[in-house]
Amino acid sequence: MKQNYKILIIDDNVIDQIVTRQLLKKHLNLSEIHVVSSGQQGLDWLRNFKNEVHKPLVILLDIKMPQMDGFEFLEVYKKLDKELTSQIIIFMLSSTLDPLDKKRAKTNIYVKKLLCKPLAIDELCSLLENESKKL
Amino acid sequence: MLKKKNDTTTQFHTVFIPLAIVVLSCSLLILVNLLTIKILYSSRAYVNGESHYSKAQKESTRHLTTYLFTKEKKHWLAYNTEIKVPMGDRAARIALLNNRSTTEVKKGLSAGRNDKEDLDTMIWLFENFKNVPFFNKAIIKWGEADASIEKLVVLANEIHQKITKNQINLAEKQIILSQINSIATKISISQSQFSDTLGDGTRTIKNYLLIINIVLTLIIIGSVSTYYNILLNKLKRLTKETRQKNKKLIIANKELDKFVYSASHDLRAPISSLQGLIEVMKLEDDITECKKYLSLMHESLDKQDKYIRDIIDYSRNTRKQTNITEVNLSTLINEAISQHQFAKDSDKIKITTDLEVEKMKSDELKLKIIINNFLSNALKYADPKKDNQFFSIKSYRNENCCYIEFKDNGIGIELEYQDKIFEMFFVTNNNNNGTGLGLYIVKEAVENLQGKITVLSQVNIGTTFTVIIPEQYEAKL
Repeated sequence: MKQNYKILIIDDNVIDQIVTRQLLKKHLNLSEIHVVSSGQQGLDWLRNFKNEVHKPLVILLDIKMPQMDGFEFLEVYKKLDKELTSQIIIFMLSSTLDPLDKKRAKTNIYVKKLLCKPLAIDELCSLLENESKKL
Repeated sequence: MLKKKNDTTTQFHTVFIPLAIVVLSCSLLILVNLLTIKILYSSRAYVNGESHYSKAQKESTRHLTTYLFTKEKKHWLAYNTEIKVPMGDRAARIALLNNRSTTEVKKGLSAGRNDKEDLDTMIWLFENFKNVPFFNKAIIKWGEADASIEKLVVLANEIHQKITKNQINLAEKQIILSQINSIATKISISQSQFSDTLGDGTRTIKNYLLIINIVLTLIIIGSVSTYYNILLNKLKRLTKETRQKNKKLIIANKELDKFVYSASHDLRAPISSLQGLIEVMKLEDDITECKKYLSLMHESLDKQDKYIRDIIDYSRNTRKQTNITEVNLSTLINEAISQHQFAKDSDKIKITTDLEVEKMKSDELKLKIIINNFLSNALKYADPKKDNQFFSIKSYRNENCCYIEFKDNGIGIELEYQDKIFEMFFVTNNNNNGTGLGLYIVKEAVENLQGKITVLSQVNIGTTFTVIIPEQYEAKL
């Protein structure tokens, strides 16, 4: 990976938090990985987030979470400051088999792609490389 | 089933009876009207006949009088022609009274210048109504007129003889004339009485007919509106039933949608976690870390296991009819406890039972589901910070209901979630390993037993669930 990224994992499942974090850590040697357990915590985290080093932020967003699910999170996310969101790349990361979820993720302009759990590192890397070319 | 069948039979009767009354009343109305028309038509034939009778009698009297004074043969012949009319009617009346053959009756009536087409109906009226007061009286008047006609014929024959022999003088002629006039007057009176009687009779019949028509029409209207009402009520009830069924169906459909959605997420979630853990473990060399991952794998498998069990409970709970038997509560509770003895930290929680009600008539499977869920919840949401962790089950009887109380001193439920915990697939942030089905299944099971469930909980203090089930008696077995 040529470019360095910051990662934010939004997932209510503790085991999946550990799995995703370890996969990123071991494969990509990323150090800046933040984990929150709900959509609301994710929003709070983003509001306090100041991107001083100008590293792009990658959000790995789970779909099914109590109280605020991934799509509800995106509804609030689109109202955030454009200056902030322009440096954020969102992937959904879920074990869903629901066709409607796949459709919703595909049509949402903020979601680059719906990734399947467990996280496939190679796929993520090639997607991020494409993104860096665009930037 | 049997009761339902009886219901349909009664319903069939209530619909069938007014319909039968309508059909019967209509037929009766048609029959009565036909009969009346026939009576009135026949009466009219008699009135017609009477007018021929009267006209011919008057003509014959006139010819006889003229013959008496002029002695002209043609008047005698004319008299003879005319007198045949009342004489024909007389012959017909006598034939009818003596039950002679129809041919003889018809011959007489034809001579009476009655229309050929009227003959049958005249005979019918006479035969069927000769004992009915109005017609009987008319026949008597007819007879009286005929008797006078006989007298006239006798007198006419005398006149004819005397004229032929030329033995008559003017004084005699005057006497005979007054005799003829007196007979004619008598006949006239009888004739008009005959007509009046027939007229009165037909008027009475007409009045009766009107009353019968009104009564039958009212019966028809009444029955039709009853029938209509019954149908309308039935329709209303059916519409209501359909609406209720539709509502239930919509709820069932929504639940199914929810179920499919949740299954497509939760069914695979523990497996994908497991796959992830395997991936991570491949990269890990540290044995302590590996052991940590193994315990996470265990947790994941437990979750999958619980999910499968919940789904099976759910389908068994909703599909299966309630099956009431004598259930031993303490056996069920002991079974549940032994099933949970290997659960994490279960040895730290002191489980106590206090059963006033030990045996009850209820559905064993549903009670088992209820007890198992409360027990596993108590273990899952125990508060490890407390030293004296406990879970107690109490049962007691009150007002024909059996109360089962499940009490723990676990982490408790926040007030805002207490209404929602029984919803399908409801989970909270605390509820990482929950499927969102357990308490939903419990609620369904309790409702199936026509019972109620209450929750009393405070965060950090504990939770008490109370299940209230009406006691089932042998009658329902």
